[in-house]
Amino acid sequence: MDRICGIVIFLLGAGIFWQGRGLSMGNLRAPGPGFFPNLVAFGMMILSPVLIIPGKKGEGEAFSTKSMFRVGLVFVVLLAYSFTMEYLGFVVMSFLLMIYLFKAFGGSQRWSLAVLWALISVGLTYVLFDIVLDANLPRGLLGV
Amino acid sequence: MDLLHNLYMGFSVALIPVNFFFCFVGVFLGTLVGVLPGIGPGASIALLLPVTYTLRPETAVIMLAGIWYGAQYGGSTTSILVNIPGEASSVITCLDGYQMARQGRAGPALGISAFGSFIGGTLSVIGLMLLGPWLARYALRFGAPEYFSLTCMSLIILSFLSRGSIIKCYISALAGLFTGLIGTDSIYGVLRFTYGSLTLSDGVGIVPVIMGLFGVAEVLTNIEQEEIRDIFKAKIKNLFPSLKDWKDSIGAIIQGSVLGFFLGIIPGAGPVMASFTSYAVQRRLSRHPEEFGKGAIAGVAAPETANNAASTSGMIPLFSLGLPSNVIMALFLGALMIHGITPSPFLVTEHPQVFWGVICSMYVGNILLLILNLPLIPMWVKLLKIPYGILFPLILLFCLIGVYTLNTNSYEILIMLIFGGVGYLMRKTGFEGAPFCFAMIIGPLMETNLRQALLQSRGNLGVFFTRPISAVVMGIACLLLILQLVPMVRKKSEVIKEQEDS
Repeated sequence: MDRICGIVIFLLGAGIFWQGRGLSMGNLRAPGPGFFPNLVAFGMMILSPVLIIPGKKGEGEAFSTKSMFRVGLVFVVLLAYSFTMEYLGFVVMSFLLMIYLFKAFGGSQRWSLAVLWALISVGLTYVLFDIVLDANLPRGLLGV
Repeated sequence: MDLLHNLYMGFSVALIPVNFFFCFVGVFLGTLVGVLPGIGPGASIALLLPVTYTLRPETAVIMLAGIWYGAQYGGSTTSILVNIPGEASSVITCLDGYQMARQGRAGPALGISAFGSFIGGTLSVIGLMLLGPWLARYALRFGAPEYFSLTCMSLIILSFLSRGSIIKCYISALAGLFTGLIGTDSIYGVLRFTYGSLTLSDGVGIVPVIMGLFGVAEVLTNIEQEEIRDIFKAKIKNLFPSLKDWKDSIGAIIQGSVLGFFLGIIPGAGPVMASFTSYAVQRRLSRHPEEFGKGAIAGVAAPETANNAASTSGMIPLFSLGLPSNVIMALFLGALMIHGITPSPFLVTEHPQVFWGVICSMYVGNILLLILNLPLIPMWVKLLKIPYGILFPLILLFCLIGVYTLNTNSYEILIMLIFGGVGYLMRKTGFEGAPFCFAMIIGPLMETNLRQALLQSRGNLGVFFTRPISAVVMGIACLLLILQLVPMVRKKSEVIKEQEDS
């Protein structure tokens, strides 16, 4: 596990170098915008072999495919929410999201209960943020 | 006389009904998030930041500070009753606190941690009051080299906090430094790593990152865990510790106050380090070290006092140097900046109502917390019975709305989710979120001061070692770095880790 992390860190450092190549380094008298990013990237690349080489055993939990799938699914749903929320409106999307989340986290929770909880939570937050705090939550295409 | 005059002004600010009300709201919410797992003071202060825009600056900080030190009180309750630390700074309290609860002494354990917190918090406020203005006058002599040295030292100190691998902690910090650099370069105004994104040209906001790393990631990690909770059922009685309990723990409380106060001032240290160190010191000092881990009341009193003292004294660097000493202080800095107040050595003289008002509100807040915590413990315990299946979706919903309303920008949600995912992977692979966040905040400060120092000295790196204050700070930083490389320190941190695991 550590070895993979080390490689990822090394690539990240190299990536910063590569992406930051357009920024001028400057010199010690007048360090340019690229000076500090390169310093940071250099640090990452120097430290990463410490993780790669010894390949310590046992550290870090193993990822089980089952749990990764559950977490991944929730994550993808949240991402989808962030992309669609402004177009389809806060109330509608949050309501759907909350039904999903209550089902996903609650395990054996019944549908009716999940819908009820979603209704209460979205309703209360809508009143609190949109009406009391005047936060202008997006209404979206449906106008709600 | 000056002090009395200032105190009078401070209390007249703190006791205005509006400020008193928000102080109460702050400590109440603080206790709440301290008790509830899954959301900590960082994420909740980040969440409430937009709400404070409409308040006066002192009122905003009074409330946010209340959440901060209130969470230190609340965190101990769950450590003692269910062996689940509500906050990182209460991890060590589990050792003896939970043992006491199992022996039927939950009452005195909760009582001593509330009184200890009160004493530690109050002594620390007195220290803040005396030391803050003095340090602010001294800080006028600080230039770019001094600030750079201080930020270097704080990053090194932070790595001592790491519970796992020190290398991973440094890597985490480097990644944080990089994230802090995204956006517009402070000296030349060049856009860096923004790829044409308007949202990114302002830099990656600290609020979405904190909510991602500490809110979303926490929830994601919990999805895969089965719900195993052993709610404490026995009745809690005798909240007031007996005379013997007081005798056993008074030394620990005094030690915890002093140690917590000084560790809190050091940028990069803070309540977590204070509670661990204080526990270790107390065991060393004790005449019965074998009792520790088996329900020694001093083992509850020392860390709980220390974390409160440290959370208060952590404001000293912010108010007198303008240097945030931890993630929470960075959020306070953000709250003040919104109102056009830049924390600097001039803050005490230019905005006395903020400095003295906040200090005096902390006396008030500590008393409110004592009242909230002692008689109301049964109510907080009931909150623990909220099933995770309800609690976690709600936390996610609050994070989503909170981060969106920050700028009415759905890209902020995306940033939060990305860091939520990154935070989840970091947890699974043994990297910690705290160094990342801290480095991200300190990064721009570090870069600007490094570059300014080099510009002023015409590229002479010696400037960090020849100016007296800078030299002392750099010296300490180098010394700490050397200490870290010595394997002995390594072993020590493993011992602490083992204690924590057991």
